[in-house]
Amino acid sequence: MTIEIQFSNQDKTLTISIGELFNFKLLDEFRQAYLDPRARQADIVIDLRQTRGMDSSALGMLLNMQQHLGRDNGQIRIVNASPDIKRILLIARFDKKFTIE
Amino acid sequence: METLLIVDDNEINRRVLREMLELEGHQVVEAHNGHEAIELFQQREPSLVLMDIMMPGMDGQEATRHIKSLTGERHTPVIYVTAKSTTALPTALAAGGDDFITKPVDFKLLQAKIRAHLRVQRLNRQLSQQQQLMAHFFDAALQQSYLDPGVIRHHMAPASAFNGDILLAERGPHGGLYVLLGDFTGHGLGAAMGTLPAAQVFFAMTRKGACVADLAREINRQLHTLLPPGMFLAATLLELSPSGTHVNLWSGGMPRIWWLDRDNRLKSPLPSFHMPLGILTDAEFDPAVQAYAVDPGDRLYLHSDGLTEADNETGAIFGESRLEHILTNPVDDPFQALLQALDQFRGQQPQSDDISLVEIRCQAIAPAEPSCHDTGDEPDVLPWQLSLALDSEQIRRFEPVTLIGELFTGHKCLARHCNLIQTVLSEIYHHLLEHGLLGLDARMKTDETRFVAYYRQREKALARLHDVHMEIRLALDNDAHGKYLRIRMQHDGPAADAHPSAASSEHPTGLGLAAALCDSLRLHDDGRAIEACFRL
Repeated sequence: MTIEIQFSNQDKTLTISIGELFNFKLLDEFRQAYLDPRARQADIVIDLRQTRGMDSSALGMLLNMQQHLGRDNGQIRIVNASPDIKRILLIARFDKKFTIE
Repeated sequence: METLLIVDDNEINRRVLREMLELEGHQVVEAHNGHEAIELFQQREPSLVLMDIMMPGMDGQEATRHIKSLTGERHTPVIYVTAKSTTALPTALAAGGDDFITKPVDFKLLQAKIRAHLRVQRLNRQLSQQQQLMAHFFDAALQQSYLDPGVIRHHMAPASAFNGDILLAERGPHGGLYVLLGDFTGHGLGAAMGTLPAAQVFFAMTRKGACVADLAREINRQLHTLLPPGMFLAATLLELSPSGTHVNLWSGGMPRIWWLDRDNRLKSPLPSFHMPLGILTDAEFDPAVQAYAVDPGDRLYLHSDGLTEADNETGAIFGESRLEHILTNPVDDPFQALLQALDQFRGQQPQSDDISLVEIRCQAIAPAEPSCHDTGDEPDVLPWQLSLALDSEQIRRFEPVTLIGELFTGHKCLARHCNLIQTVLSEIYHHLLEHGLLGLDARMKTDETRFVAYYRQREKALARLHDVHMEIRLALDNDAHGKYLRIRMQHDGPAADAHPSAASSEHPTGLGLAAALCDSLRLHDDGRAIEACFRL
């Protein structure tokens, strides 16, 4: 399993947990996760605790998700990013679009 | 040789007993009265006491009570040596005496009694040694907990030597805090046994940064395998995010958690939704987690049911309403206020269950300092080179970047950077492949629907790929500034157009991202080759 999704608190929060490598191979799985009808109302959390590496295809996927769900900047949270992953997110200035914890 | 204490005000009685006991091979000390007996007892720590009841000053019954209060867990038998028809015997035995023998003393009987009591005492010592050993294991297992009083305060009061309540706390690899408060069925050693496997799973998984759902599932799985039927662990597991703003909670069979804001106003009680751990099979287990957004300074109060069910002399129980009353009526320190109220309520009533109270203060928590960061790098390395030449078929079938990454994890000085190097390799490789060999337009990736179409096209173009090659060369070397990895990739396909700046410059991705991670990055040969240098 490379992506797991979990709704909690009566579907108010959707947590999408990404596997070890976050790249275009997860494109379909990742889209499926945020295309879930319940995602429209939910707070979205991307959990990267297992993720060791990512490349810019993953960055593209994250931006697409934000566009598709029409969320304001900072509404979607990216949590548990390792220092390496955080560096990539900051180089891409993703802190302007997402809340990176 | 055992030391025995004889307590008698009559010198002849003492001498007779002494001679008999010395013949048996014991060492003997003598006391004339109760006060002297207590003094000698503390000095000489005898294995057994022969105690006259009627003595001037402090009598045998009073002295026995003192001695028994001094011994605590260490069992020291006291045998009363008494006149035949004393009415004091029942109360004297109630005061803590273990046996009696009447005067005139039947020596054969006394010998037998002494041997029997010393046997019990040896068993008792063995048991307490084993208990100490067990206690050592439990302490060692629990001591690893991160219990910074600024973050987490706790009151853990076991009803006996071993605690069936368990508190575990640890920081995550990127900061934040994990807490487990649990309550095994029953109390005492039996209840405490499950502590060890639970603690082992907890620390192994939290150090890797596992999520609460996985943590709960794994502890459940372990306990389901290990615990006897009818025994389980009611538990609250929570994770406070590194920023201290979010809590993920899994709670099964525990009293609800009280959530207060920084001014001690009640925000909400957080109920327990699940079955305790260790009951359900892995397939039946429900890992659903509750997520809550908290504010800095918010506090969470967790407790075991031993707190609300604590009783007093009249048989009344402390109860949830008392707890709620104290927490919802603003006081300076609800934690202390609760403990005081509990103390006052219980009075001298002995505890019948383990009692635990935990306060967690929501705040940002940094990761643990690496205990001894491995800087044992050699100043320079033996230079080496690695080169791969892929044909069309191999480009289709393999992910060279992932394979190279796997090689790096075993290489001491590259392993530390292997995630970022892999990102760099991935950006360069995919740039050359997609925009060079496959002729895809990077601008497609900027909008959502075309993004997916881009990757569909990529798949098709890749399947049609033929008669081209990609070469990857890596070289590890040193120069005056230290170690570096030189990366060169090139293909023999068509020249790419003036390299299309992929995503908007607002969010550097693709080669922009690689360039930012590297010391230098250059395109050559009309975009067919890219050279980069990554400093280690």
